[in-house]
Amino acid sequence: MKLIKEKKGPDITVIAKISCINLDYLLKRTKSNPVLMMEMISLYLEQTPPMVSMMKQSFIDKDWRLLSATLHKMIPSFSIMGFSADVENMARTVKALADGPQQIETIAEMVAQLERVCKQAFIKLEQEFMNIKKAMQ
Amino acid sequence: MKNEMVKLFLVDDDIVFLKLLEMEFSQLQNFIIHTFVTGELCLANMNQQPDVVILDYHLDGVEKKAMNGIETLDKIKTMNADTPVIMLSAQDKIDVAIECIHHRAVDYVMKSETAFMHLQKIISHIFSAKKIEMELKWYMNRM
Repeated sequence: MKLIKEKKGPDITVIAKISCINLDYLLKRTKSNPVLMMEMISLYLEQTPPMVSMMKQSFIDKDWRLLSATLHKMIPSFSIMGFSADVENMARTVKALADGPQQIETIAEMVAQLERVCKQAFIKLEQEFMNIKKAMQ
Repeated sequence: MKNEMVKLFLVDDDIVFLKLLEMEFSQLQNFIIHTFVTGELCLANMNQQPDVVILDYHLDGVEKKAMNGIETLDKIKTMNADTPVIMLSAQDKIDVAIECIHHRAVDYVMKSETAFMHLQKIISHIFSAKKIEMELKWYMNRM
């Protein structure tokens, strides 16, 4: 995994990992304010893991309305947390498939992929959160 | 709009996007921001008379019993028909946009990286239009 050390603001050094997430957008929006960065990451980690579980469960239950609604709520945060456009497009595809004639095998594969990517992102975001916290101390 | 404080209500059940908007508007000097995660909470605070409301369309997506964006919009308009409401949605759909406008929303903005920029522009237009309207009334009263 490639590591890039970036100087962010006068007091904070963030180690941005090139992986499923890229915090450049969030750094710009927060003006590299570590408190705001931590707050945004923390809110994301509060909101999204239950959404991922709900996505998985609604697929198992074949509750297409809930699957669509869950993805609908998850989609805007992908760009905020700097997920690749492929991930966002996949979520939009699953939502469209849940809204329309359901192709169960395709949805199953994509839901599993989205779950994997999100869980990987949660670990990275927890690490980023800790890195920022340490840099502030 | 330069020196006047604008009381802004932000309503969204997506707490990440809500915080992002709050953060962006807080960086501007002239906004007093109140955030709400449900339409019900927004309505309960309408006595504070917001200058503008930014309201999510899909407030009942995951929480089925929650009041949806259009119902909230209708109730806001019943309480105060002059309160400008801008609708937000994660989807770019013409029928949703038309529905919002039919229910007297000022505009419809898609949640994207440029949403904040669009919202700022719309709010600026709202206040320019209000100013022109007030000036027109002033002249009409003197005719």
